Amino acid sequence: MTGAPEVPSPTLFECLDVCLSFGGLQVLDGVSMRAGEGEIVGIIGPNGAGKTTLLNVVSGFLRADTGRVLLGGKDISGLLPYERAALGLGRTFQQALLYPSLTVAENLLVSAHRHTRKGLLSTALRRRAAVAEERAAAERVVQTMDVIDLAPYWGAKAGALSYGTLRMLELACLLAQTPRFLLLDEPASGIAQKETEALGPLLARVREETGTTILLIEHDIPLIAGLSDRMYAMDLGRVIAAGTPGQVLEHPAVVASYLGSKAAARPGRPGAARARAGRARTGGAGTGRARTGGAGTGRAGRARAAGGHPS
Amino acid sequence: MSVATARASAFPIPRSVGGAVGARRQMAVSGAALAVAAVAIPALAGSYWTFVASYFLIYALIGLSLILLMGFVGQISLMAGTVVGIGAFTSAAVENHFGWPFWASVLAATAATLPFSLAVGFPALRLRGLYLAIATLAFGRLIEELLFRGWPWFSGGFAGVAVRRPSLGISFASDARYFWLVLAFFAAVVAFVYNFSRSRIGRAMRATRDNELAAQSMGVNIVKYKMMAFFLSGAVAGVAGALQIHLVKSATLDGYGFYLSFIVFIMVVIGGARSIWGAVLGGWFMIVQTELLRGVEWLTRYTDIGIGVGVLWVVLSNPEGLAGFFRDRWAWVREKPRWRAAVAALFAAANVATFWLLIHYGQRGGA
Ligand SMILES: Nc1ncnc2c1ncn2[C@@H]1O[C@H](COP(=O)(O)OP(=O)(O)O)[C@@H](O)[C@H]1O
Ligand SMILES: [Mg+2]
Repeated sequence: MTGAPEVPSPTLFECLDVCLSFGGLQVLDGVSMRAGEGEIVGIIGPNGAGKTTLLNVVSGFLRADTGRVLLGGKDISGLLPYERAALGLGRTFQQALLYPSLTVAENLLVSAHRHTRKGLLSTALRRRAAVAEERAAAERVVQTMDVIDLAPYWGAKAGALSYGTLRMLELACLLAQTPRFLLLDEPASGIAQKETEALGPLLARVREETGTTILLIEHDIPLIAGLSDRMYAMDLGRVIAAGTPGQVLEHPAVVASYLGSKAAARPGRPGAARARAGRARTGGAGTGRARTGGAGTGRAGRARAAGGHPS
Repeated sequence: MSVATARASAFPIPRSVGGAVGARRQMAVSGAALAVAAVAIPALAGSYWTFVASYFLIYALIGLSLILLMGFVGQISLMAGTVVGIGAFTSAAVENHFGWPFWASVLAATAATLPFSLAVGFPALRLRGLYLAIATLAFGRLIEELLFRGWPWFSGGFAGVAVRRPSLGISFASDARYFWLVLAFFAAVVAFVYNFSRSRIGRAMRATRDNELAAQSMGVNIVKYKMMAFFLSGAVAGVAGALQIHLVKSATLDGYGFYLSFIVFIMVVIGGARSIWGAVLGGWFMIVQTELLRGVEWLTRYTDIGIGVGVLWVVLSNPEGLAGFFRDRWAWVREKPRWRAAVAALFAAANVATFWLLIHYGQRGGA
């Protein structure tokens, strides 16, 4: 499941030179990325690097100051979030965001919204075609249970689920939505270790079943390195490294700005060999971070503050 | 597991997923209940209580119009009573001034609400909670001033307007006949709302209410569904207004506006804003129960206290109102149907008996 394909697949997603500032703060500073059909592309970077902001620009919740977002060759920069979703863009949020007062089944059915068309009158009058469409949507939802089995929770309100189950529901919702392009913002955050371990194979399965392209933000290095075909590392609103997971994790700029503190703060997780590789470099991290801090770029202060844990 | 077995069967979709698919039984049961009501109420309850029943159904429709906003898309409105007034006066005006027939006047009442829904709906997209409540309140007052007080041609001024109950082949002048008409409208509107609420449209609205960000990210056009809810809410209030003015036959502008909006708001809060049942149960609590207590002099003064206690009960411990309360009780009965059904039946019988006593020994009504 790892390793870049020999022949690069045709481009599905591209963002070109995206810039965005909040007030005076340049949060995205000329970000360009691409993802090929069926690829899993990882993004790593310290807190405050601009990863979530980039996701918001791609999914339409924020407008870039300059730059373009392309999906399947079409410029979607001007579209509203729901229009992008209708074109097959799906996303999760850093905090699982679903519909707490709707049941699990209803949550899944809402996700299938883009596959249904019927309007107010035909649903209200129970026209045959509308009922058939409802049935098809329900069947689509039932099928997602092959991958993520939430059947025991069908009738439970989403608000009553544990956080881990909620995150599973979120993924199941994405299966029901079957996006061509999927944005995941830290899917492992806030869930238990055991569930994190299940997440890797699950995401691989999602790609296998649906052929969807995935752009994945994750702090869990073993998880993201194990899954990604290619990776980008971001810091201070810029892409500082790109390539295979191995190349990115070993890139000096990455080691300096991010990996040092992160890997030191988080003991490696079992599973991926790269976890050990990540930890092995921890020794050099202190000096790496010291160099960043001393760079005197004026941004370094923010990087240090946002980058988190003093090591 | 359970899904695998379900998929092998002829009906592969679990009931809880079914959405609009498996609604046939509910429709049959409700149809039967309505038929019984249509025959039994005019026959057994007498003219006065049949009138009250029509009144109750109309209030339930007004409640439903508010539920379409509050329960379906999470928008608060404090101008439901004003919209009802627009419907009532429009239907009266087109009948009295232009000689339009009843059907056309109901259509006109519905159509007349559209521009107001548009005028409230669009600004409401940017407002939330208390601010939206206050904005609708202010807008409602403005309409009352300009259209109701300021335009006697429309509202009849302080003298009020009078209309006649319709005759459509057969006369609907009597309370019993008019009750049938109201019941038919009620059934049609509720069926309409029930069906779409269980479909993709209703789910998209409830998703919008729960979480606008997530809904958008799943392809739900939240602006469209909020506006749809505003239009539907206005249309239902318009129909209710037309039915109401033909029920009471004459009305003045005092009957519509803030006071009515407020009553309906409380009614929906007590009944439960998240389900269609909330309109029915809230209407029962506010209209029928009040009317029952009114018949017994020493009880009358307790009606407002009862309503106050009802509001507190909801706010403190039962956010989904009577509808949520009874849904939970229903689940409780279904858990151990054998003896719990008996408890429920006993409880229901006691209520019916009280009801009967109040009707027959109260000063009002009686057959
Ligand atoms: N709405 C906002 N207004 C102002 N600043 C913001 C906003 N959203 C994010 N930021 C800032 O942008 C930077 C990048 O944030 P974010 O994209 O959330 O980073 P990441 O997801 O990589 O941790 C941070 O410095 C954050 O404080
Ligand atoms: Mg983030």
